[in-house]
Amino acid sequence: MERTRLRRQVALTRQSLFDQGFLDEQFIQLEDLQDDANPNFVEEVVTLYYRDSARLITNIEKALEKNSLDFNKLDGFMHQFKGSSSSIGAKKVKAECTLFREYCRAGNGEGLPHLSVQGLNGFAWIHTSCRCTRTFQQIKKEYATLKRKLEAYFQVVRQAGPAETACWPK
Amino acid sequence: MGEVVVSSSSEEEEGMVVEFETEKDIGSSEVVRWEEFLPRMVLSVLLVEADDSTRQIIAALLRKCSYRVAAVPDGLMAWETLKDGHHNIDLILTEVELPSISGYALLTLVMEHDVYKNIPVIMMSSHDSISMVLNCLLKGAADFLIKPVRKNELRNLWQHVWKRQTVCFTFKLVLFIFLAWFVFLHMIMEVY
Repeated sequence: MERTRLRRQVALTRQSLFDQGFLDEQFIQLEDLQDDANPNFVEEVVTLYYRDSARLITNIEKALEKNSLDFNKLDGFMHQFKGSSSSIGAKKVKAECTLFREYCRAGNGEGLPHLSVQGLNGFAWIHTSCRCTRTFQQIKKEYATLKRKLEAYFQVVRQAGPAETACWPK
Repeated sequence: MGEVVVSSSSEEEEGMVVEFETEKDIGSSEVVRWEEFLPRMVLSVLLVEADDSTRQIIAALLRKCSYRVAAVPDGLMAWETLKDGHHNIDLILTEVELPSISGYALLTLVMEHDVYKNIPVIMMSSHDSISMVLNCLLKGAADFLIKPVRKNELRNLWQHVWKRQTVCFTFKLVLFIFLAWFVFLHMIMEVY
C-alpha cells in the first residue's frame, strides 16, 4: 500500500539522518513536543531556525571580510549560532562551530596550545584567520546540506499524511 | 526522568496536609514522585530567551511540564511583563546573554526589588564558565542550568518555588503562633 510505503520511507529517511550524524538526540526532544495540539512543531521550529540563522551567517560573513578580524565579535556571533543549532539537534553544524570558536580563541592568544602566538605573531595570526575562514566555509556547507536533507524529510512526512512520524522505541 | 526518593515526614499547615511516603511503603524497587502527593498548583514561568527557535522549544517543554508560560525575547520586555502584574509570575527562567539588558542585569533588578526578590530566578547558558555561574548564584539566582536544557530539569523547577513559599509560610506561621501566645498571656494577666 502507498501509505505503508510512505511511512517506511519516512522512517528510513529519519533514521539515516541520525546514522549519518546530521542530527542528535536533541531532535528527538523536538519530536516529543509534537502532538495533536502542535502537529507541525518540528517543521515550524526548524523553519524558524533557518530564518534566524541566515541573518547570523550574513553577519559572520561580513565580519570575516574585514581586513583585521575582530575575534571577540566573531566568537560572539558563533556562540549564538552554535546555541541555536544545538537546540534543534544539528550535530555536524554544532561540531564545526566548536572548531571555529577554538580558532577564534587562538586568534585572541588563548586556546589551542600548538598555535602559540609568541614570537610568531604575524604568521600565527594569518594562519588562524585562514583557518577561521575555511572552517566557516565548512559550516556553511554542513548547514546547507542539513537544510536540504530536512526539507526532503519534511516533504516525505507531509506526503505520508498526519501522525505519520515514526516513533522509535527509546 | 524526575523521580526522587523522599524521606518520610509530615507537617500540618493550616488545613494543608503534606505527606511524604518512603520508598519502603510503596515497594522497594519503585521511586516516589513528589508532585503526585503535593497539592497541585499551576506555576507561571517567565521565560526570557533571545534565540527564537530555542525560545519556542523551551516554552513548549515548559508547557509539557504543565507550567503556564510567558515567553519574551529580551530583558527589558521581561521586566515590563513582570511589572504589569497580569501574569503573576512564580518563577523566572532567563538566558544569561540577552539583547537590551543582560540576564545578569535582570537578575540584579529582580533581587533589588522589594516584592520581586522573592521570585526564584533560574539562569541558563550554553557557556559553562564557573565564574559566571558563581557570580549569578552569589547575586541571588536560585539555580543555573547548562543548555541544552532537558525536560527533567524543567520539570523540577517547581521545587524552587515550593521551597521559597514553604520557608516564607513557616516563618509567618511561627510568628503568628508567637504573637497569639503573647496576646493570650496578656489577656490572662489582665484577668488577674
